Amino acid sequence: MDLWVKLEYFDFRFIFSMKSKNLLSNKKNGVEQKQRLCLSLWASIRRRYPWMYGVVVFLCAVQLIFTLVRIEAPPFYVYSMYSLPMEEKDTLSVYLLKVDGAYFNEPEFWNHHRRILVQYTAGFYDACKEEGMAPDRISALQHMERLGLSVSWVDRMYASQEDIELYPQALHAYMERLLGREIQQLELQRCEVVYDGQGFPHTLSTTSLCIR
Amino acid sequence: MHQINTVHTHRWREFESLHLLLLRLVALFFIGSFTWRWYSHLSIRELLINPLTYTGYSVPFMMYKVSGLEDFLRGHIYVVQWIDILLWASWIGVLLKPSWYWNRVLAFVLFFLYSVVFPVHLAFPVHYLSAMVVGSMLLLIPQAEAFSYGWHLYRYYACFVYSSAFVWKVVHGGMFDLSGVQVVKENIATYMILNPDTWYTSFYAWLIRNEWLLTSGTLITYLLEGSFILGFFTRKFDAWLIVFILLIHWALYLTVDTSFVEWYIFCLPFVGISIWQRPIFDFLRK
Repeated sequence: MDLWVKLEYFDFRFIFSMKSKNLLSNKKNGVEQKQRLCLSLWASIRRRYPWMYGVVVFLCAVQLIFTLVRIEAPPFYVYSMYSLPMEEKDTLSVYLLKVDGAYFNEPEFWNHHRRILVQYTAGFYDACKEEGMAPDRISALQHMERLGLSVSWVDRMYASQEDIELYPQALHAYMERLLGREIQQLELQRCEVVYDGQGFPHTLSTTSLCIR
Repeated sequence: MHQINTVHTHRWREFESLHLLLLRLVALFFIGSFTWRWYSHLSIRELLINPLTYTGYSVPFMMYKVSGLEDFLRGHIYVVQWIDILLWASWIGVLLKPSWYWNRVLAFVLFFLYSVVFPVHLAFPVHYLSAMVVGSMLLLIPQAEAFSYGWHLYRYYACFVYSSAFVWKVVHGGMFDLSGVQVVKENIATYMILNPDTWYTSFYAWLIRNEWLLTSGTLITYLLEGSFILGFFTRKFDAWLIVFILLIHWALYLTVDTSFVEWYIFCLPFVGISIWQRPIFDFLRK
């Protein structure tokens, strides 16, 4: 009985020590051992809940396929962020939001999620303005044209010109809700920043992306 | 023979009796996250204000746009407000009456919708919710015994997440070209520009000056991720893995101002059964 209780914890060292002590040499016992050792989580699920086993195998297979083709489709995530070596840049772009003359600045830990919408959309808006349309839309359209396929449904997938033009107005409305007050003037700026030898950043230039 | 099998399979069924307690804990975690998001103005209603969306090559994100669901939601704001309320109500329902299966299905569906709307309208495929999305799938398991298997699978999924992040870094070469200082510079610049006179700004400047500290910190973080490979083979180090999860995301927040607090749900499946059996959790049991 003691042996089985120990096996329950699937201690590899214990199994190896059993092998070295020739405890598994008996053929009959050896076969039994093998069967029971295989009674792992997978086997338990398969034996007790075949439907669940099917679902889990399917999910794992889809996850594997999506990982291999590097496509992310929630709930199948690919956790490869920051896995590529980063290129060193001397000048960095920083996006700042000026609300009624004062910078929107809520650096506290509990305000992290209050700043993420501005933080993520500002960079995307800048890229859209620079390219004239959503950067991902350009590559998708080129890809579709190469394949000779219709591009009409691609347009529905990406931010349109109208969406880009509406962004300042939307940001204004969102910030009014976030701050809980009326905003007279809102300005989104892109600052080019460079770090000095002491590790402090300095602003080289400031460009106004939109004023509303 | 029967006895042997019972003993052996018991390990995977150990959470069977804790089915409702663990569902309630998951629900509590979700409600905590929703509260924070409500305070941060990240409800579906508020996310929809932003028209500038990004789908990337993510199939559900594309479906959200192509199917016309986004247009429908934008055109029916009162429906969206009800979805926001129902999302809260369904998860409170899970907390109060976890045995109510169809409410759990509703809670899962609404949360999945939220998990699609959030990154699409944030215009960036962020991973803030991925741990919770996969965790919410546990709600779909009807039987208590099957839930116990699911709970163990969730633990393995957490091991997969961190160990695959480590493996990608080895495959793509990030592991051998540690550019911690560059990541910190990019992410912390906004804070340092806006708050030039704080203690933290001096601390960050000190870190950037002492680049080796950030390089070794990056290496340690990557190795901590790699240590989750151990989790596939043994549960002896589960307490350490919980510490590593807490440590990785705390260090990440401190140095690159990105808070993955919502990934702390991954700590739950690493907690041993003896902890959940303590009287302190009795209020969640019945």
